[in-house]
This record gives sequence, C-alpha cells and structure tokens, in this order.
Amino acid sequence: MKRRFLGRYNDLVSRHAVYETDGALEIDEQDNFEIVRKRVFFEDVLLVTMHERTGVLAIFFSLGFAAFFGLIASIAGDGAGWVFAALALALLIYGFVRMARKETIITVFGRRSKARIRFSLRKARAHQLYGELCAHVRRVQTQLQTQEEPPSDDVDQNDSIREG
Amino acid sequence: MATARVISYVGPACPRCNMPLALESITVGEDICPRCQGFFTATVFQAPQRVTRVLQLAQAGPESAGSCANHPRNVAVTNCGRCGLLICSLCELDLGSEKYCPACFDRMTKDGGIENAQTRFRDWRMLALASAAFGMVLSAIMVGVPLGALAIYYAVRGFRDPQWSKDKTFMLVLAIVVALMDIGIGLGVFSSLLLKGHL
Repeated sequence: MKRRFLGRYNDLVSRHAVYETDGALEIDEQDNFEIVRKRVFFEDVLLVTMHERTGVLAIFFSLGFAAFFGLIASIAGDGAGWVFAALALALLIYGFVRMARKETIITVFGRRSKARIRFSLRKARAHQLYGELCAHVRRVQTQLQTQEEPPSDDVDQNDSIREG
Repeated sequence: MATARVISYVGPACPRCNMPLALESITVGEDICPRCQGFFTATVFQAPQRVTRVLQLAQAGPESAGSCANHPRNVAVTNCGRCGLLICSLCELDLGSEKYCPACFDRMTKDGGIENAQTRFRDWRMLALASAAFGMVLSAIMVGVPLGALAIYYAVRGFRDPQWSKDKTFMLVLAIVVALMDIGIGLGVFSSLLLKGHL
C-alpha cells in the first residue's frame, strides 16, 4: 500500500503530518529543515478517540488579522484600501465559521506513542476516517492474533549481544 | 545538529486534558473524562503481545543444530546477511529482503543503509520555500537569481524524493513560481542597470 496522507495537527510550537501505511501510522514532525518520523503501529494501538473542541487559537488569529487588515483598509482609503478590506472580510468570515463549527480531533494511542489528526471544517471526513482507522486496526490485530502461536516456556533471553 | 526532544508518553489518556485513563474504565462509544468532564468517542483495542517462538538446544540436541552467538542456549535459525553470525529467532531482524543480527542492524541504521529504519529526512519543501522567500526579499539586489535557482534545485529534489507525497505538491509548485519571479526580478534589475550604464 502506498503511503496515504491523512491529515495534520499543528499548534503554536509543532507541525505534524500524519500518513497511513500498511502496518502503521507515520507521524512526520517538522524540525526546522528536517522531518522527524515516528510510527504508531496498528498492532500496538490500544485506543482510538474522537472529540470536538473550539479552535480558540484559529479564531483569535483570524479575527485579530481581520481587525488589523480592516484598520489598514480604513487608513489606506480607496484603491489599496479595498484590497485590505477584502482580505479583512475573508478572514472575518473564516473566523465566524470557525466559531460556529467546532474542529474534530482524532487521537490514536499506541503502546509507545500517539498520533493526532485535526479536521477544522470537514467533520464528515473526520467521522469517515475514524471508522476507517478503527476497521484497519481491528483487521491487523485480528490477523496477528490468529497468526500467533503460544511461546516456549524456557527461553534464553539474555540481553548480552556479542559484537558481529 | 538539532537535539532530540524527550517527551514522556503515558499511554491512553483523555484526549482533552491528557489525564491517564485505564483501558478498563473507558466505555466504548461515548465516554466522559472524570477530570475535565469532556465528552469523547472511544474505541478500545486489545493489542496482542508479540511472541517469538524460540527453539532450545536442549530440545533440538547439540549435534542437530548450531547455537546462537548471542544466546548460547537457543538454536540458530539463520545467518546474519551482513556478518554471517549465527542467530536465533530472538536476534533475527527480518527486513524482508535480508535478515540481520542486532549489531549489524544498529550499524546499518547509523550509516543510513536501511531505508525503513531511517527516522530523519531532509525537508526539501521547506528548503525550497525558504530559499524562494529569501530570494524574493533580496531580489532588488539581484541575490534573487542564485537563490531562485537554488530554490528550483531544492523543489526538483523534493519531487524526486521517495518521501514525496501529494500534499507537498502545492508548496513545491509555489516555491518554483516564487523562484522564477526571483530570477525574473533579478534579471530585470540587472538589465535596467546595464541599460542605464551603471554596470
């Protein structure tokens, strides 16, 4: 299966992109000019949740910038003023839409790490993805359970590794 | 080089307030966090423990099988594909094409020889965007020409990168467009200076 882009989760200090592969969710975290990759394996998933919340930060910034551009528009007057007024109006509408519609967040908790995906406007897509992820995890874990055989009783699991 | 950030992960928690939750206490479907009283939809999974079947020398007999170099009591099931060391199924790291011992796997991961084990990648998209944006800022003094060319190079590398995915296309195309503008402005400034006889 090709790597499939699922969504993003960005906040003030970090930027994440989440992808789906055959065996795991891959979380690409932006670290300046590098990408650091973490994985949440489907076989390790313990809990998948979905919740809604108001995107306070997005509302604050969109309305803040709308006010700022509105101020510039009123100072600039005709000509350039209309351009800034249009920008302010677009941001104002976006801010009100974000106030009216809550964002949906899907969280996948693994044994060692977690993945989060935020959907700002596409609520139906979030619900669909939640179902898809749960089905994928269930399928992988059921497959693994049927493959696994009971372990042997007396196993030498000494951690000392000789250099090869 | 950037330092690694260590973030503690406590396992399943409330997605709103991050309070650790016991899996047994979570209701499948609609649930409510006992601390923040926030609602969330949950699906709980019983992740199976991975088990490795290891054959002991005592079971197989010392004449019938070789012993693992790292675990003398275990039967070796294969050789390391790099150093040839005999290894048991506990040590065996199967990468699909080849099987390696843990020591070789560590070395190859450090050298970048195993693509799947790599966790750090160069972000060509950000490099292209930064070069193009910086070139635009400095395009008036003709620095936009080399920076624009650099941005195009980074963008092409981004498209050729095996890590490329569709979501990166827009930013790479944007970087190329801005880079072309950088070059255009730079050449425009250069030609106008040339025509005015300043050069």
